[in-house]
Amino acid sequence: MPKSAQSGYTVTAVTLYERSGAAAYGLSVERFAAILDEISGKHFSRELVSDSGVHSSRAAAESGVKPTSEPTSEKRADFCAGLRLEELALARACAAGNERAWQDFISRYRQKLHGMALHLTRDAAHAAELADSLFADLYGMNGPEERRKSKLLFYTGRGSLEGWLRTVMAQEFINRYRKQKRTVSLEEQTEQGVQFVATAEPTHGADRISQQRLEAATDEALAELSPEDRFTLASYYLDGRTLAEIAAMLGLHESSVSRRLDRLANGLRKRILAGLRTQGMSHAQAAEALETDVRDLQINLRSRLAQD
Amino acid sequence: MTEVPKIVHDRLRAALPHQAGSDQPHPDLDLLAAFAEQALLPKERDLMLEHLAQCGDCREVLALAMPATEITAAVADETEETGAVAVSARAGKNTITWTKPVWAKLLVFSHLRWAALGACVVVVASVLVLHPGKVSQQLPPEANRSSEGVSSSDTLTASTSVPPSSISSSSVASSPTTLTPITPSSVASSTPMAKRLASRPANTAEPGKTPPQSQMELASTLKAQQLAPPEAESLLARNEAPPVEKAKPAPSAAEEQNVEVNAEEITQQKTDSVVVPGTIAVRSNAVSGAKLAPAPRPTLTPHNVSWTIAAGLLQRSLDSGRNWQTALRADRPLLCYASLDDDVWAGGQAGTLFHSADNGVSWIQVQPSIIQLYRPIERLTSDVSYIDFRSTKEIVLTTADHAVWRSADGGKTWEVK
Repeated sequence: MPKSAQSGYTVTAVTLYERSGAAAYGLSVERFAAILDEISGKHFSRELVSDSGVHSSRAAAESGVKPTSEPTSEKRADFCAGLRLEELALARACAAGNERAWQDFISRYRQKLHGMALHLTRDAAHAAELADSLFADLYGMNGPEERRKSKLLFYTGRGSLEGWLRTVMAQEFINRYRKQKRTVSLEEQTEQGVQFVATAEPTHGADRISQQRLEAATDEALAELSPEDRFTLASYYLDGRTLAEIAAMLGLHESSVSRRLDRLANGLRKRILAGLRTQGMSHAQAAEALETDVRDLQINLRSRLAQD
Repeated sequence: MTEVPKIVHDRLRAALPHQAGSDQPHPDLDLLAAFAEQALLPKERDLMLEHLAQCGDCREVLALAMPATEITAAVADETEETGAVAVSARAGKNTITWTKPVWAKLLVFSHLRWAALGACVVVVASVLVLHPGKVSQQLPPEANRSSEGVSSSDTLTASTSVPPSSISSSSVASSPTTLTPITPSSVASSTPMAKRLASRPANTAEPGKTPPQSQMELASTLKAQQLAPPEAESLLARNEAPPVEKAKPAPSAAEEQNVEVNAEEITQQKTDSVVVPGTIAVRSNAVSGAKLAPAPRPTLTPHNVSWTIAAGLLQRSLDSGRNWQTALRADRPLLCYASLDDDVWAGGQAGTLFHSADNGVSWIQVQPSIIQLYRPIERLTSDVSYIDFRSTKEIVLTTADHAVWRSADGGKTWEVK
């Protein structure tokens, strides 16, 4: 056990160790307690520095922010008890090279990983390639030999191991896709119908002022929304996610998301109009500025030119 | 869904990756996975949402990492797409699958559409069954012919089963072998054009030229109108008579030729179209003893009517052989005929025998048969090769197998030798 651990924590660590079944994978109690200590330390340090806006443990370490007060042993115990201990033990045992752990991991997740890869790539060959790449990362075969370590070491048991694997694979898929996307020429994009957004700004003085006021009012209205509302807006209007997808991400019902979006859209319009009026615009001017956006005119002009 | 102003799109987009990438590092993937499973603490969740609201990259990873309930469902029928948004959106759409209950699956539009179609078919079928008279306008001529049962001995006047007003002149003219009776009501009720054509002047024919059959009929029409114009007018004026009453009397030559003219004008396509004049009633004299339908007195005088058999059809000339028209077309080829005054007999293959008591204006099919106790009914089934007409009542038939059928009562009873 680490020296920093108190006696109560040690008892808890033993209890959690027994619950995790880590002994079957050759993990000692001391090693398991050290893992829990590491994970809880990251969590509480992140929690303490969250007010500074730094979100990851890596960033917290780089920023040099030190925890101002140690969490109580009860809080640590509660946090560790909420982890996915069995899956955490499996992942760490695999990272340590335990053969039985790998057998369990393969039997549990190999088929699922291939299914995930196929779901992402829609192609059997690419799916096999993506899954093999992920397995290589999990085995710790990528990178220079002296720095090789299994990606499973980054699993902390906050969510399910399957969900973590899915997220890691999604990240890997996006990275691969972006690498391929960079190689696409502009001509190919043009042939595929990609329209490059013109960044022309209104040149007329009155238009520019009106545009600036509109942007300020919109930013202010968006800033008043909760993070979840802004996430919902961005997911629906920018990313084109469906109501069901957003509902699944937020853990809500689809109808709740629909009502929320309606409420947000109507509220945003009212708030932007109110913001424009506070900047000296009349109601008619504010409504006109909101409805006849300069970008609409540009878009219409572009479409007309494209037709000609 | 309510749309937001475009400025909202722009400002949401303006707060995106470049800011998140520079100022805020992306959260650890284990936290992102925990967020997807709603496993984060409230404070962590708010921080994650704050980042996700500004970071499109992490939103994309999150969307792709959402669990898929049916991973392989849409793999086979989807092709590779190119856009990042399209890929993620497509993947996201398959992540959530809502299993509809059975009743909801049955109520989808595609199923209701077929149900509506089936209901329409049932309604149309019901209407056709309840109003069979309307069907004859839509059925092909063959259907009309078969439905009227011309050769059936059980149907005395099959034409009465179908209202004559429903028989269009075009369908009559386009059926070369039809035995459909043509009545004056069918002429007048067909179209307004029929009325106009019925009253048009008779100088539209081209005399002096050996015409096709329809033109021959047109020429004979002109002659028939000259012969009996008052009767033609009177028949055309009887359109309001009940259908059954209309079907019984055989039309005069003048009216039947009016039908031909109308048919020719309306269809404008068949030069060989033939209209069989008159009503052909079926009689089985030995079995049923049914009475012949009363035929009006012929308007044609016997001395100027000539008969001949050509190509299995009985031809009639009203002008001493200059122009010919088809007077009778049977299901089987006609082989012989005999005429005496107004009575005309025509025989053909397989026991075909027709009788007209009005110089060919109306025809009655006669099926000679002999009924004797304890013996099967003997019917005339062989070809009628010769007809001897000694008087109006005495008819002698000679068949191809050298049998002689004789009737002494105008075809009501027969004996064979």
